[in-house]
Amino acid sequence: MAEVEGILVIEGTIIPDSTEIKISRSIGLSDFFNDQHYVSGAEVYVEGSDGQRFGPGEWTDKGNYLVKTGDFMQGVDYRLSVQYDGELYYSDFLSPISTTPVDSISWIKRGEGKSVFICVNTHDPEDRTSYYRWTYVEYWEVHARIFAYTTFEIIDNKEVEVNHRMSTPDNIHNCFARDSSKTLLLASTEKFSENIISEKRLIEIEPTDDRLSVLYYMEVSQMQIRKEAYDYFYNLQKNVDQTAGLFSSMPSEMIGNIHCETDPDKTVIGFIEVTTVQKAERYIDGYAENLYERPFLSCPITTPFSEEGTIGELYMRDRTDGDKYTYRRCFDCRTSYNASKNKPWFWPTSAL
Amino acid sequence: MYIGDQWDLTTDFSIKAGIRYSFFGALGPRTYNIYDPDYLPSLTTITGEKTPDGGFFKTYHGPEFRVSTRYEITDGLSVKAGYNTMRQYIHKLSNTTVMSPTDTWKLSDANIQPQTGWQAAAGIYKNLASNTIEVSLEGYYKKMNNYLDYRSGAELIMNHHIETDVLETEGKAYGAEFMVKKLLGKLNGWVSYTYSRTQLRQSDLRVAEPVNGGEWYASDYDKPHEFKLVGNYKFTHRFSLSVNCDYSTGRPITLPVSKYEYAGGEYVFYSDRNQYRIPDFFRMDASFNIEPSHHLISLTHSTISFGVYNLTGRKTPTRYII
Repeated sequence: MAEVEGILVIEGTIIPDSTEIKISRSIGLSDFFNDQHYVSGAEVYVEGSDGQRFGPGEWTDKGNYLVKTGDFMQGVDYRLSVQYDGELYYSDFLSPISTTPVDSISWIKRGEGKSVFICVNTHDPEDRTSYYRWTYVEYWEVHARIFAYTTFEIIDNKEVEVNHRMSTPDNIHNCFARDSSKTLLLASTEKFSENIISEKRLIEIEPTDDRLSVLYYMEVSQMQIRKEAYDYFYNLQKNVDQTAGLFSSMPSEMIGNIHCETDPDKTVIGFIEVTTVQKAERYIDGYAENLYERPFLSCPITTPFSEEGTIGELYMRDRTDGDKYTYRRCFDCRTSYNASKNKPWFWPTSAL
Repeated sequence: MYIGDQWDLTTDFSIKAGIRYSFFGALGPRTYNIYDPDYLPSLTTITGEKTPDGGFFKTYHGPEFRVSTRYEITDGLSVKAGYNTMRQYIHKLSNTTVMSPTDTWKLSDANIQPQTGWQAAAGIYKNLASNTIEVSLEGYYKKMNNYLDYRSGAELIMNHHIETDVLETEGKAYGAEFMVKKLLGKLNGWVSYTYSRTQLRQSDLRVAEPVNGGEWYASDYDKPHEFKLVGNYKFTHRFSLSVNCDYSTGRPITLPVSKYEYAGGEYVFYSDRNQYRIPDFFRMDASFNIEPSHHLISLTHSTISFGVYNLTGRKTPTRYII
């Protein structure tokens, strides 16, 4: 099998205030991602066609560099410059696009048992460009089924008995989870008579998902992009979603807008767009809005005196009737997807 | 419409020549787009739409020439050469490496021109062993224009404006074949080896990023080496054994070669068009044939045949899952 690795991948969008650029390398098809593919030690700058230079980008983690850009100047084009491993890379100078604001974030659920779709709505009366891209971050609160009073936890490699109190953050009943967009979310109004995006689906949430059980929050970042960027991202997504079936499309060769100045034959993956970001946010109470359909979770409660003995782990001491045991997933909210005790600073509920 | 003739200039030298004139018309009623000629046809360069009611809305016609000559140098040794031009009004678009029901056949129309080309071939032929063995060496060169190839990311199935997903490319093919034929005797058959290439090039200047940087690249049918053997051994008038062998280089394929992280997800990176090949193809069949009756006059003539297909049990891949 043919394997190529080490192609430079530069990801990011030049936006006002601060621009985050992520640099990594591609890996072989049979390899696994393990953080080794991130590139450190690169010099990252955002350059204006007026000679201004912002940077160098500050390394944060996992291949991310933060460049403080400030406001876009009138009539100035911007590009990215990366110096790494003796080579110099530039993206094309592009003029900033002023993105239209988001109109609203809405949800659709077509009936019982059906998934919930979170959608974005927007329109551009000035028709600056017909192409849009979105990213999002989401947070949600999740509760365990059963309240745990006393459990065994591994602390410093030792098994320790821990007490949990509901009124303090040491409970393992209330947790907070987070996630972000994992695919390229794009849309085009090119074929429409007006530049309006109506109910563009950003995420599909199953009705039994934890996200809908207590409180859900999404922050959407909207960017208007130009056709070249849209074509590039669209083909990127299509190469992964669709190829190799009898009815699917042919694979695409990807040419981004990043070139190696010092070695013109070098391939670089990525398209650096220059635009502004419009954010919007929304809280959704899945329970109150009747979106949540509680899934069945098997939580048999046993004691040392039960017929079959104890199943699972300890969650409550009881000298009279016997210490109570059940599966950890029933009493420890931290076993839920991406959940932890880290409560976002802005979270509106009183849960600890 | 075709007109041709053969002239025997001397006992050793003859020429055959002809002209064919072909006419193709695309019939309406239909709706089709008109595109800005400065750019490649695309949904964003549509300048209008035409809806003819009936009759021919686009016609193509032209001559096709052919000429071939034969010269006998000595008894049993001859040389042949030929040249012809061609026009073709139907194109095949396939998204797989095998013939499949999902292949799309497209006729020329207002937006797709017919393919044109020319071919020159020459060969030298020698008969040996009192004309029981024929040895030949032939070579050819062919040039094609307006050969349809797909663009990057093309949608070929049920595409009502397929002109926006294809490109008219330049093609060339050349090769040489060496063959030995034995026609008579208990052992008969033929064996041949062919070296042939077929390549395409995206030379349309409107293409922003041509495949392989505008250089020649292997077409889907490029198989440099091909070896064929067909043999028969007649034990008696009744019993015979036949074998056939087929070996060819694997077809070219475009493969994903690398994967990377982007925007929170995993993506694959594809190689250049047709840069890799599937494994070489090999097949051998053998059969033993019995002819029970040799009556001169009979209602039916039958043959019983016991055969093994793919004698070596070689597996030919039809799909790659990575």
